[in-house]
This record gives sequence, C-alpha cells and structure tokens, in this order.
Amino acid sequence: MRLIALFAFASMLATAADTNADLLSAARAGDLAAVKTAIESGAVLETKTPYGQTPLYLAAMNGHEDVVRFLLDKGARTDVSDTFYKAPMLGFVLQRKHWGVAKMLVAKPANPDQTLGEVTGSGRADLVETVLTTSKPSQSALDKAYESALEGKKADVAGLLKKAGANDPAPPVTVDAAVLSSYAGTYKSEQIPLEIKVSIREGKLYGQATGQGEFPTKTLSATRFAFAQAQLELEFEGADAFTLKQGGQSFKFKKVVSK
Amino acid sequence: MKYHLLAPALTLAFTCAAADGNWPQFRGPSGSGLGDGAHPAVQWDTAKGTNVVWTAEIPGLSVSSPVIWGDRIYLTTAISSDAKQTFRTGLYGDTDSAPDRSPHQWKVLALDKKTGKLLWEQTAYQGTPKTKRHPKSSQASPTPVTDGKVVVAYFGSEGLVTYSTDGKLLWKKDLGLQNAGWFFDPDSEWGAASSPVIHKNTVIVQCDRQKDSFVAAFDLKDGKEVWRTARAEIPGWGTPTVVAAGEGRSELVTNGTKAIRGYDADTGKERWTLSPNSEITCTTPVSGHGLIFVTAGYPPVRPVYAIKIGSTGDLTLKDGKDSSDAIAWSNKNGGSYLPSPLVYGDHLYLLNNNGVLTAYDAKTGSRVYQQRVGPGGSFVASPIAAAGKLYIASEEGDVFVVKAGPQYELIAKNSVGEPVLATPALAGDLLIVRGAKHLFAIADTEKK
Repeated sequence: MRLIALFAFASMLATAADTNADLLSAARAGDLAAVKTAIESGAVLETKTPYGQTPLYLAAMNGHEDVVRFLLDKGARTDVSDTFYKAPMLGFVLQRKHWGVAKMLVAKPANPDQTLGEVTGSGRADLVETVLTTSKPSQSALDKAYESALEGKKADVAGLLKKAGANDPAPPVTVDAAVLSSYAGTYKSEQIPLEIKVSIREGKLYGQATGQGEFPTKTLSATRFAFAQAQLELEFEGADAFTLKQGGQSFKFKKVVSK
Repeated sequence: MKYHLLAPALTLAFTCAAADGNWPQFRGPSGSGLGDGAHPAVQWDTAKGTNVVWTAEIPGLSVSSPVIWGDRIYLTTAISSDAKQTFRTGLYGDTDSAPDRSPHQWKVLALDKKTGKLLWEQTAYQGTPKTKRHPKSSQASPTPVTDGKVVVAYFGSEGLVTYSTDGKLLWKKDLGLQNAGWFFDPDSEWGAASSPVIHKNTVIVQCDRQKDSFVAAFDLKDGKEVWRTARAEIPGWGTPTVVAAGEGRSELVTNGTKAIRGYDADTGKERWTLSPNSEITCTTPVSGHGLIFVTAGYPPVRPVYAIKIGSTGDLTLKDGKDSSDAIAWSNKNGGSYLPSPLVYGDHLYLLNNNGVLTAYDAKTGSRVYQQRVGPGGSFVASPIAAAGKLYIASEEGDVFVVKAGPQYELIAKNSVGEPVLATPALAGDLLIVRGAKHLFAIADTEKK
C-alpha cells in the first residue's frame, strides 16, 4: 500500500512538472489557448525555466501581447529578473522593441524608479508618460532620468520629466588633472566578460566597453563619474580599480593595462 | 578515477603536419591548426597581387574553411536567392537570428589548387532554410572533411552529404532539425557550425541542439550509422577532436555546456566527463604535450582545462582545486569564446574575440604574455601556425603574422580587403584565406 502511495505521489509530481513545462512552452510560443489550458490544469503562474524565466517573462520577451495581457490579469509578477543575465523582463522587451508589451508592463511597475530609468533610455515618450501617470518615481529617479534625456537629446521625454518635477542637473565638478589621468587604462572584470577602456581628454573621462561606442561621463566627484543615458556610474577605488554600478547591480573592474 | 601518462609521441602521430600538402578538415590535421614543415608567405598585397598566386570568386555566403587534399581544394557555400544577404561583422552581442528566409542552394565546390579554377560543383540541397542563422554566421558554416577519397559536407538541418573527389554523389543523410541557437530563447536560431571529422572508415558529427543532442559515426562508404550516443546537452558549436589515447585506442573529445566529454571514437562509449563549462561553447579541443586543451568563453565560467590524455571517469575538480591526477592545470576565467585554441611549440595560445592574444606555458599553465594583436578589432577565425609564426585573421580582413614563442612580436599585417570569418588553411607553402567573397591563394612567389 505504501509503495502504491509513493508511486501515486511521484506521478502527481511528474504531472505537475509537465503542466508547468507546458505553460512555459505555450507562453514562449504565444499560444494563448494552451496557456489557458495549462493554467486551468494547475500550472503554477510563477513557474520558472532553469534560467529563472517565468511564463510572463517568456511571453513578454517574445512580444506576445495577448498572452502578456492574460498573465497580467491573472496577477503574474512583473519584477522578475532571470538568474543568468540578471536582466529584468522589461530589458529584453525594450531591446527587441516590443512596444505594446512594454506599455502593459510599465503600467504596473513593481519598481517605478528602475522602470523609469529603463524606459527613458528607450526614448519612448509614451512609455515614460505611462510610468509617470501610473506610479510615483522618487525625486532622485526623476532627476537622473531627466539628465539622461537631456544628454540623449530626447526633448519629448525631457519635457515630460521636467513637467513631473525633475530638477536641473548639477554642474560637473572639476578634478585635479593628475588624479584624472591616473585613471586612464584598460580594465577587466572577473564578474562579466567585458573590458572597459578609460581615457581622458580635455578634462573629461571617457569609457568604452568591448564592442561598443565610447561614452562621455560627467564628473560627480574626484572618484565618481556618471553616464546618465545608460544610468551607469563608475566609482574609482584608487587608480587601479573601479566599480561599475548599473541597474541596481555592481561589477568590480581591475586595471590590466595602463594608459 | 584512472589516468595514463602518455608519451608525447602518441599524440604527435595524430598531428602530422600539412607539409605533405593536405589540410583535411577544420584547422587541418587533427584540428590542430598546425602546418609545420610548411613555409607560407609572411607578406602579401592582394591589391597589387604581390605574393598572390590566384584569387577565385566564391558565390554565396559561408564561414566554413577550405580543406585541401593533393591538388584539390574543397569548400562549401550557401547561395541565397536574395543577393543582398551578408554577414554582420564586428563586436556585438545580439542574440536574434538574421532575418533571412530566402530560398538557398547548398553547394560543395572543388577547385584546382594550382590555379583556383573550378573543377566541379554539386548542389547538395535547395529550398528554404529549415532553421535560421546568426547574423554573423551562414547557412554553410561547418567545414567539410576529406580523406583524399571522399569529401563529406555537413549542412546542419539540410543534411550530411558525401561525394567522391570527382564530385559523384555517394550518399546523403537527413540528420533531422539541427536547431542550434540561444539557450535562453530557443526561437533565436543561430544555425549549426560543428564540423564533421573522419576517424578510420567513419565520419563523426557532433549535433548539439535544443532537444535530443547526439554524437554519431557513419560509414564513409554508404552512410550507414555505425554508432550513435545521446548527449544530455544544449546547443553547442565546437568541432570534436580525435586524439590517440594509448593502447591503440582513439578518443573523441567534445566541448559542451553540461560537460566536456571524451568518448571511445570506435564505439561512442563515454569514457570521461568534466564540468563546469560555459553556457555557450564554440571552440575545438586541441592536443599537445600529452594533454588535451579545452576552453570556452561565455559566462558563468570561461574555463581553460589541460586534461591528461587517457583519463577516465568524472574529472570534475574538487572545490578550490585547479589541478588533479587528471587535470594538469586549469583556470576558470581565461577561456576564449569563438576562436579555437592553438598549441604550438611550448605554448598554448588563446585568442579572444577582441583580438587579445594570451600565451600560456602549455605544460604548466603559467601565463607567458597577454597582448592585443595589432590595433585589435573583431576576431572569429581561429589562429593557425607554421614556420615559427602564428597567422591570425580578423573580421576586418587583416591577417596578422605573429612570431611564435615566449615574447609577442608582430611581424606583419596583410589585408585581403574583405571580411575574413573563416579559419585559413595551409597546403604546403600555400596559404588559403577565405574572405567574404573570394578565396585567396598566397605564397612567397619570389622563393620559386
């Protein structure tokens, strides 16, 4: 009898796993009927792939608006980041230009500050307006987003943020030229496969990541430099290392080549 | 866990040089990239024709390498009906597939080695591609393989096909849908790239895909399946390598995400596994000094392993250890992503996609130098070596010639004037460089 009970329990577990897999697969494929069937069969709304993607994450990153709408109505969480890239679902949605899905996600922002930063980077005034009307980002987030929009010459977005109460950016700080030039060099991180080349020109610090364009920074202090458009900050710890802060994450970089 | 220390001579037998004029598979003899005995030109100028023996226009799009046997060069291409289709070169991290759904023709070509003249061409398959490709890849990415009697081409979802060296179709096999793509989103299809290898009378293919991955051997004569071993793997793009493992045995070494594995090349029986590895694996294992070197360059780990040939069992290192009875040395973060490693002389060379070349003492793993090749750029072709020099081709179309040894020295930089994504080949003193549109045959013409 005990053996039969164990077998029945194991079968139940296998069935639940299959239903969850069906839900993930249907959400990724944008098959709304199959998504509904899986949910009705008991699939877990927040079930995850081995990389931490939920059904909503998969439907969103693949631009399936009807499935996203259905899962949001069911109460699916929007504040999910995957476990591999640590990327929020909105990041892939914006990168792939699924604007309809983005509008649905930002209407229910779990983290208004982070969401405002992400949509400001996209340059889409409609998305920024949605975030501002459906949530209340902090003053600091408003100010950063406004500075980013000004730097990116996104006048529509900047106008919306100013109207929402953003303050004008503080003027850049002047740092001793010797200190500034000591930061020049190539830096590498053990945490992510990226090199950043730091160079100094006309009293300004520039960064350039592997395979990307050069970005100018604004000097916040003798050790802190910001690039508002990408919502990133470099904080130096002496002349041979800095921490890159972006999207709530921190990555340590060490100098591998001087100048 | 058992291991055997092998005399280096055993592995040397497998890496006989290209001096005899043959470069039978991806990266030549045993996938080594070595053309010792060959003396390719150091400098050339394709615009002026200096040291350029011939140039042949190649239709279509392909990142596969030419292979050479005797007086013939064999290569593959995929010709789209949309002439605008091209590669997107440069350093970028996009994951989406190329938007190319045009009908294609998959072809195998044979050229005369002396003149570059087309001897024959055969269409192996035509139709709409069954899977999409990465923007930097092609529909004909695996390099063909030859033993001088037959030429085998693998076109992923479009099948495995074998011709006689005169271009007669011998057999074809459909290996199913080879949907190799992004682990994170299976709809991002990048296309197959692992090249076939010949072992004795069989051709072996490593098919790591979204579902039901496998490695299998087929009889060269008729395509009959000799063995097939299922692999618990996600998509991968590395070409397997056959090494002599002592006592008359040959071992097939495969790169892979879930594990690096060694199989008996005669039976497909798994002999050893090693993990962890990168989530995306693209490089080919290479051997030397009684070791097999396997690397990968994508998070969460970018390892370099120097594995003692002949080891068996689970070779995974204990926490905090970087060597063991089976692993001569390793490191977790030095691996290369697309270009395969090269063992030449005393050194192991790893080339990053951004052109940073790192040389290690092959036996100990001590880092000898790290240097950006020229001004850097974007590199996907694997380095090859001959006559004490490394030949390193960039996507920008430059071929850098670097002195082999403990000190970095750039000897020459030669442009072919078009992107190079395929690994060059060597036939005696002839260097064959495949650009995006042409095949260039380069040799020191003054010497003759």
